[in-house]
Amino acid sequence: MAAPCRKVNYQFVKRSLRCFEPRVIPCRWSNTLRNQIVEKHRHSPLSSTRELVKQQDDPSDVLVPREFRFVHPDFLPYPIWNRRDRVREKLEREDMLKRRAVLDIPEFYVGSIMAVSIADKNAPGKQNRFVGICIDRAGHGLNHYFVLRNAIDGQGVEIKYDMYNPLLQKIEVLKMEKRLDPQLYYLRDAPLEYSTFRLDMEPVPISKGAHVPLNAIKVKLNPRPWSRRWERSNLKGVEPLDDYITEKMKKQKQHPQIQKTWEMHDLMLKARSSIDDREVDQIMNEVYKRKEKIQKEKLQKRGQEGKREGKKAQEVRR
Amino acid sequence: MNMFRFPVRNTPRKLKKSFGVGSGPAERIKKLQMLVTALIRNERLEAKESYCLETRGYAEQLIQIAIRNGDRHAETMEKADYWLLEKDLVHKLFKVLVPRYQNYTTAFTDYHFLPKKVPGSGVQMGILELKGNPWPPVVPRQRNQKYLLTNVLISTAKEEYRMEKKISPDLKNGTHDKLNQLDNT
Amino acid sequence: MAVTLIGRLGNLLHKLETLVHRIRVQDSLNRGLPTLGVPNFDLGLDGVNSDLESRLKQQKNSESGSSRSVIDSIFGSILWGVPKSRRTLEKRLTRKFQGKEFKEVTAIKKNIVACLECGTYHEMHTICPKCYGKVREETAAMKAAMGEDFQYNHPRSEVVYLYEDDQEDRAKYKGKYIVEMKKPRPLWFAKNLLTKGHG
Repeated sequence: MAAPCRKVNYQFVKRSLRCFEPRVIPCRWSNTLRNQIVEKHRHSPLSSTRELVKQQDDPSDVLVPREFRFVHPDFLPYPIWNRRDRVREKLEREDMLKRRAVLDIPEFYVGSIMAVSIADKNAPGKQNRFVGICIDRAGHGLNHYFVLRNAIDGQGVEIKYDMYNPLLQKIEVLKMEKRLDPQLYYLRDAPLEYSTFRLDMEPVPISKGAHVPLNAIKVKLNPRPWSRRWERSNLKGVEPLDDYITEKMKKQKQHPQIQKTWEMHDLMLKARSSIDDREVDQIMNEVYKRKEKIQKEKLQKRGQEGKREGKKAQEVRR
Repeated sequence: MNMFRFPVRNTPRKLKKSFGVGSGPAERIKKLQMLVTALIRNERLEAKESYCLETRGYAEQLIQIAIRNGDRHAETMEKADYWLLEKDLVHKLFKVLVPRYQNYTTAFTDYHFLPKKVPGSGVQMGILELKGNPWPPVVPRQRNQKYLLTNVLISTAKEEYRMEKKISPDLKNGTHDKLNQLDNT
Repeated sequence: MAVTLIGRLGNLLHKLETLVHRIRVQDSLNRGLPTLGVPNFDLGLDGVNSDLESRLKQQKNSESGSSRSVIDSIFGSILWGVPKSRRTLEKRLTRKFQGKEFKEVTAIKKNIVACLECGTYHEMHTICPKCYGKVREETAAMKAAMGEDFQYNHPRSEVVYLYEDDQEDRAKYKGKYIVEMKKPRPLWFAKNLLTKGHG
């Protein structure tokens, strides 16, 4: 809810007159569909799509595994609650699922070594393949991206790929593993050995139900200057930085404006910058059901194709 | 599904400097701790509008996480310990307020406007109270508005519409309705 | 007081202007440059720098073309922010009386309504002050009746306040913290003990 509404006293018959009041939408939200209004129309007893809505809102009998939201972070809703557009999110989810039906997007985490083939009209074979370690993964909906890093001929190279870019032809995970940090931008200030991966690397097999292995490696950074103030970032996958930091930097880090201890228990800050777990559950539920459906269709298609080929073979034999 | 069951601003208010507490984000949180503690203890808080409406969010969130996680959850206990400066209120939160608000679908607090004092500084005061408190209600008894003229007219109009719907099949399907026409196109 | 302040500022400015002008003139003369644009006003020279005055007169007689001295360029580029005219009484008063404390008194209110219980007037969106005054007093009495427990050791169960006429309901509130109020229940305080809010 964006506009504060004043609760009116018992005095006047405002409730009954409310239906006659013209609903004036302020200029600020004239180009968005406010969720309150959309939900009101969705759940209205006069709507013709009431059955569909009931189906959609029904809590499923299918148990969605807890890891599903970590495997599919692109489906998570936009975290800023007052700037969310749920209709747009729904449309994006549809597009994302359609794309996933065509392209196989595997499960991967920051720290996994991946190979991505992208369509490139100027490259030999019209394809460009890059291998690298995933150092970041962010974005919501169709804007979801991941960054791969590698060192080629002694030069560090980072490429940012939009996950739903139609030019992407193949995403392979060569080595699936996790790291201690959510982002690995500090590899820019580490020796190149930590970022070097062979372009012809063989994929490391991993069994289907296994836990994702954690690579607890501690990277030794180069001496300062760094691209960022890593001493303030609380990095876990990095060796202690005490050798590189001056007394002044340590003191600065302890400054209350840097520490911001008041943000630790700030309930409203957390509420404003995150989406309710129940809503995330609902979305993941929907996505899970749709995904199952798509997989079923895929199998059916393959089965049909197999049948067709069998028929053709029979005909040929005849 | 809306997370907040009451109006919430896009950005937090910067509470002004006052007696005992200064300005800035750290001091603001200190002030809010005092206000939340006072609200939980007295169940009714008379303060400036901005103070009341800021504490509303924090008090409701505190009760919300207490309901969701219970008193065995370490993080929730930490937060209750931080926000409630008097520790007997931590027990009250989990033992009195959580069972009271367990099945609420509405907000746990109510806000009322107090009349402005004239002559005065023109500051708007208000009352923030927890629902279900034992004190006499702020708003006097609600009167039955069923027999007010406008309401009588509206209820008869509703009845007439229902009767017409029963008779006519078009009305039953709702195809005459403009809203449905829009949806179908 | 404002008048004297402005007067003082004006004096200061005038003195600064003359000083600047004097420096300009001196500099121009020293460089042998023309002193065009030097008005014939009194430079306040007190006869001490009569030499300067005479030189100026000499210069004025032989003027040829204008060129800006270094000092001129420095002082000429600074814009002195100064009030152009006196602020009128109307403007001053408007500024003084535009705060919300005055709006409260002067703005016309069309949302005043009488309380159905007691008849006091208040704005439509606010609560009746007289009725709330009664409520406030009663609340204070109820808190006092609980004693020290209220402030220092709040009970861990729902609190029930029983007045003298509510004694029959005692059995209903087993397990709850009961506070005895030593007076009859006020007529305006309805018997909705421990009913839930909206829920």
